[in-house]
Amino acid sequence: MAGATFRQFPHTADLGIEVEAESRAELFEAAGLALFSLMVDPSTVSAREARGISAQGEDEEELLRAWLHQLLLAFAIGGFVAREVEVERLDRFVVEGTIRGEPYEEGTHRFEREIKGVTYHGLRVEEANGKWMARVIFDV
Amino acid sequence: MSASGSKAKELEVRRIGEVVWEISRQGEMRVPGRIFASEDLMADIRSDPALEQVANVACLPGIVGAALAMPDIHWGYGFPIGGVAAVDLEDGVISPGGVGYDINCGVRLAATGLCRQDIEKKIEPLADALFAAIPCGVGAHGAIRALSVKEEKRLVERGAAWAVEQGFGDAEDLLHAEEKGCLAGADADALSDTALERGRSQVGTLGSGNHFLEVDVIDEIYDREGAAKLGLSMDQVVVIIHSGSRGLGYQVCDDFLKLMVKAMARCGIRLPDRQLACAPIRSPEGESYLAAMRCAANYAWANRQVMFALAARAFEQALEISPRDLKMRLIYDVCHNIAKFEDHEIDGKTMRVCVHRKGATRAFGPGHPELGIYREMGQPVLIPGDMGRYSFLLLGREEAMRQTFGSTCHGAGRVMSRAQAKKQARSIDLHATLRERGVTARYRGFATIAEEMPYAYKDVAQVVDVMERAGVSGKVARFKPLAVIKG
Repeated sequence: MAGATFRQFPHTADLGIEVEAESRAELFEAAGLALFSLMVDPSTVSAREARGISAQGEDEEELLRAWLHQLLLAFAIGGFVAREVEVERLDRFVVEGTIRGEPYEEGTHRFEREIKGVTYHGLRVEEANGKWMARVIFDV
Repeated sequence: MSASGSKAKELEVRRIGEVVWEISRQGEMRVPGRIFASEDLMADIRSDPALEQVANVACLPGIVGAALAMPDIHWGYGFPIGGVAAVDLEDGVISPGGVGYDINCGVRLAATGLCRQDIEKKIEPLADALFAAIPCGVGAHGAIRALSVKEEKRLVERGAAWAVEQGFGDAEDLLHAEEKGCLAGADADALSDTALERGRSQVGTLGSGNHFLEVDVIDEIYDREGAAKLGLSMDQVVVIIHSGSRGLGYQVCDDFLKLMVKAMARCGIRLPDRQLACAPIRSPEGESYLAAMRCAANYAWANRQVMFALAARAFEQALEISPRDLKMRLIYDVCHNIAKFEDHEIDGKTMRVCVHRKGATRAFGPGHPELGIYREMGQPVLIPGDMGRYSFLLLGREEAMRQTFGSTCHGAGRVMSRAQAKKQARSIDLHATLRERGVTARYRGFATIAEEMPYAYKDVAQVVDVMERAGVSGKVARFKPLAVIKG
């Protein structure tokens, strides 16, 4: 993910992120990592266990949203926090990958905030001049 | 649709009353938009994309009267936060985004028999005891054991009564909650397995974000008669709990948004924002969402009932007193994010409509048959402010039935984005800032506390004053926080 970055953009009630990457797969990886870093500080997480994640979506935006939702569930249901996100297969409607991290433990991991949902509001995935860009708003 | 964070496109907004502003029908809008605000608040509102969201809500099929915005309105997703929309049951739509992820996010206010002096010197151990008793529920750790699916299904169909059956509080509490803590028409079979899984171990947990548990004292009384009837007096200690339906509710919203994005295409509904995804109320998707949403609403009531009982035990333990000395009793429990079938008068005719309240509180006036023990005095409404200032208790007035589909504001409303608030927090000592205001804080989320600092919010007094000037709800008492527990 050499060229992938994300930044928060101002949203009054919730949290918005803008992600840029060199490829579509990197975009999915960077957005995933952004989501985890909003919930738990990744520098406090060690990548000692792996979990498989997959998602389906009927268009570009829905696929990214569904992927992020599955990552959210890894934490919300599985209690798993990640510091690495890797996309292994990505076609038009399906994404599969692996996240590496460990089970969440209060005191060990620096908890930032709970994310309630990955919204459709202002959701965008675009490719321009060989770069990929996404905007996502999370409900906090 | 501007979700860009940039200033909303210019909408024509004109003042039509002392505290009422209107966006006239334009474009695809089916009804006008109506905003309750003072001139000062309107200046903030204009610089936020929220007004455009009011106009978008006015495009919903079946919407009646006007798309309303309370004075704490701010930019949300789909609906603005602080939005109220009533739709015709027969040809209208239901929108999960019009309720939100945190279905029945709400607040409850409990009075105690204690006064300021009883706790002033014990505030630190009291905050510790409350913090230990009420987890935020992150990382799959609950306050009580994980439920079996069968038990969880009973919970979502019974609401707060389930919690009472389990020994959390008593039956009297149920009379002091909107809908007596249980919406009829909940069907656990409308929930996905994922929704049930997310809810299993989160009963009795606070969540993070703007959720909190507070210990406050009454520092101002505006309506002596109202306060006396509610058994409230100066310096009395009260407890405020703000939380919702946790992961179960978030998942219901997510499941049905996905489904309704598809249903919209089938029904030929086009809207300016996908987050407003909706389906006809009288459609399989609409009915199924309502059955699931009611389950989530009931989960939230059970959740707040459990936390209320856990808080009482923490008080007794920290102060070494008996339940008889504590005398903790529920004043009222209201929801902020909900869609409910109600009767309202529209153009001189009584109609059954589905009222979406997204960051707005029901505030029925005196005489309303739904109010039970509060029928004579009107509905109590608790409006929490930011964690450093104060919160207000109001009573709904008859004018609410004429102007706002029986609704009022729900909180202070943010003025600063989370990113900005967090940035500002880097340069100050958060604990010292809160201590200066006389507030002892305990929190788990490092980002949460920074984003929720008092300066990120409007002054809630301005917000409740607008609704009082509009005649919709009137102030009874003000609460000053002494201890705050956050997730």
